[in-house]
Amino acid sequence: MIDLPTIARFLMQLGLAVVGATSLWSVFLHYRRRKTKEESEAKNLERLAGLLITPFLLGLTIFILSWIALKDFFYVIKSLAHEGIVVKATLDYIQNGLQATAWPVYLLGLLAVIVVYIFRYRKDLFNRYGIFLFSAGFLLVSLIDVFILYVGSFNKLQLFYFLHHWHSIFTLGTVITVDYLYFRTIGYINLKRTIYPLFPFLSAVIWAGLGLDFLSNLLIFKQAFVVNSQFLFIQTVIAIIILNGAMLSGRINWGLLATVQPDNPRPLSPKEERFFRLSGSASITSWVTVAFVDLFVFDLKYWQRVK
Amino acid sequence: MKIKVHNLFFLLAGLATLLSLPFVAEGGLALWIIIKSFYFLGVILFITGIIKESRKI
Repeated sequence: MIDLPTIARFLMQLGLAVVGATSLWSVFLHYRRRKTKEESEAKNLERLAGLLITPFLLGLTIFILSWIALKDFFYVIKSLAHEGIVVKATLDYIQNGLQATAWPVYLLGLLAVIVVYIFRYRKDLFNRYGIFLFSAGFLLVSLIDVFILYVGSFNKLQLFYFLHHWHSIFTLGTVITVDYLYFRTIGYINLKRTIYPLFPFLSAVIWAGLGLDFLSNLLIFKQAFVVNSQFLFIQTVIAIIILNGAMLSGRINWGLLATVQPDNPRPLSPKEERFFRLSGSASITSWVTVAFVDLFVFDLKYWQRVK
Repeated sequence: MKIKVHNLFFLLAGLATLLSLPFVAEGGLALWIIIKSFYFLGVILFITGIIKESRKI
């Protein structure tokens, strides 16, 4: 059954994952900019870091609106792991979590105001302090993830809830960031030359993030391992994510890199382009599906879900 | 097509996840650990590969 509070819960997780991922990758880009000695490379990294402001703010808006809706209007009664392993969160956990995260959410809002102001009016400060501001953003998002569902003490279940939410920064959020940067840099060969060689780093973080989710499931495996059609469906999507990810971080990465070689660039054939687009679409669709289906309980048979 | 070892492990992990679906209830934690170990080997090899490449640059 799909209900409004759970949709708000999904949007909150999606928004927070995007804010966390864009903060993390902004820190990475600012760090690379400081380290690079080439001026043109530094300019490209500066532009790329600037591009991430838009998804950062969009994610923050979605998160804060959903958080307010949940805190002040809705009650949500369940949370599921990303592998379809079920752990019910009581109403108390959710209410505790929404209360406990109030201050970090306010601080995140304040940080966003500062970021927007200096990005708009003081580019010099943005370039100088961007790394610290986005580090603070990442830490605040991580702090929110620690308490977003709070059981009242720090035990195995609390650690599971933290990792369950935190890994979304590295998986769902980073996948959205990769797609966004890919589409925003179409037509800008210099930006592509800077960002494409960085895609393997983003892929590594996505793989590690999914691994973090697998490990977190060990914490609740005994009490929550239930094989039903929903679990089997999510396992199927996880398999698609892994198989498709192998293509993305292998053949597709190499193909994209070949297109931006300064000496002898090799353009993609129409067949390759179709294949790359299909793989990119499969990636984002699978991740959103896993995050979405995890939060709901559907009374469907396996084949009905696959259709 | 160039295939690196980490991708072989990812392919193994993905295929094993799919093919083990009919046995996942009987296999339980043991099967889960076997399949995920392919995955983690892939991740470790991928990350070490990237670290080596970036050191070269």
